[in-house]
Amino acid sequence: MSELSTSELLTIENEKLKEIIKSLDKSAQMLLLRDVELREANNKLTTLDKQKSEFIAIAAHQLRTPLTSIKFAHQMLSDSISEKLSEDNLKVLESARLSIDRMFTMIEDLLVIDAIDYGDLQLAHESFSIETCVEDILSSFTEIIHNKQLQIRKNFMENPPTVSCDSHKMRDVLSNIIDNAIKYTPSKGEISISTMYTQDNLIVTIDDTGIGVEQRDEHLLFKKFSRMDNAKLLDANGSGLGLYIARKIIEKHLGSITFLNRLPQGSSFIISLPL
Amino acid sequence: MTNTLKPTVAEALEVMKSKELGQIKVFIVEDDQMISDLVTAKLSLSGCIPYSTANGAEAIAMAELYTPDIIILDLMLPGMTGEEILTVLKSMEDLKTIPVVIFSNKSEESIKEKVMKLGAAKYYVKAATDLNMFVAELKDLVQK
Repeated sequence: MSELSTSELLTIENEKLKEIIKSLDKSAQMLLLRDVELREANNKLTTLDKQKSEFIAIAAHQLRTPLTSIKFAHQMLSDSISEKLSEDNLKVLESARLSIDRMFTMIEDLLVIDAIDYGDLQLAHESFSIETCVEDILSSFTEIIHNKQLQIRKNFMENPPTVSCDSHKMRDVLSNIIDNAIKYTPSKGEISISTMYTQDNLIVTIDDTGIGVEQRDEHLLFKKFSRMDNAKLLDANGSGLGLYIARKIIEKHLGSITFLNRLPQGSSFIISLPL
Repeated sequence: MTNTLKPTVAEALEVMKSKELGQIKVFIVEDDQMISDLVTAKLSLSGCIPYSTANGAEAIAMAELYTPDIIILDLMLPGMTGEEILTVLKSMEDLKTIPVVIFSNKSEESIKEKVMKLGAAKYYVKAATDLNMFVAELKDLVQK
């Protein structure tokens, strides 16, 4: 076989290059097409996401209106007839109140989750006393604390300063963690709540002698819709949103929330907020 | 002002009587009938004199007519929105000092900030409101 001349080799190489360029052009065209398709899909998803948020806002508003009537009617009835009711009927009224509060919390969670997902979690900035809020939350759990014979220890300094934060959202965070501590601590257990002020931060620690969290489940604790197996045994109705929302609210305040496992018994949650 | 909004003699006497007794006149602008009825009943039981309208467009004229001590204002209303009513009230020489509390089931911070800047005295999310505390705080706001 005779050897190919340089010119012939160049022609062959040239042809190969042309093929490659043609193939690259085709790929580029396909990429452009995919890019257009992806942009269109992204636009559609953004529109759907916006519609979802609008729907949630409208649904929340519409659900709250009859809930307000039920709540006010319940409150007025309770105020006027409580003294005349038997203990059993008082329990019925209390169950209704708890269900109203639970319904309201679920609607609130729906709105907060949507705001978090949409990157639109808004905060108010108000002067807030963590200690007063904790006392207030604990007083709302007086009955269950008494029934479970729980020991509550508070370690607060005298005349603690106030912090600037969204008081309603911070109350939700504390309420959620204290509620969990009460719910998942067996009878005659102990819950300790303390606050400490450093130069730059407020540290709130909530310890309990409850069922704790299995080490294998720890990474799920602050995830959306996560519920621990041992928690489900005690409360089948939780949404798995509370700690996820708590972490997002704390982070929005530029703080942090940490979980410390104290197995075989108990949990600690440590909240740090900038002063 | 329309003739239908003119107070009857009985209403005028009631207003005079309330002044003598030091009772608080509360004007409720709320389009949900059940909520309006419940708040009205609670205010009456608490010794206040409540008046109400469900129509945003009527609210200004009725406020002029009754010169209440405090106004409870919803935001989503037929005829005129709560924000529009608040803006008009705060521009009127005779009415601008009357405290207006917003009573709405909208909970967005941006809305709260906006109406507080427009001159609202306080913002309540209805479903999160304790009725007893609400009435006590209304009385405090009037006494300030």
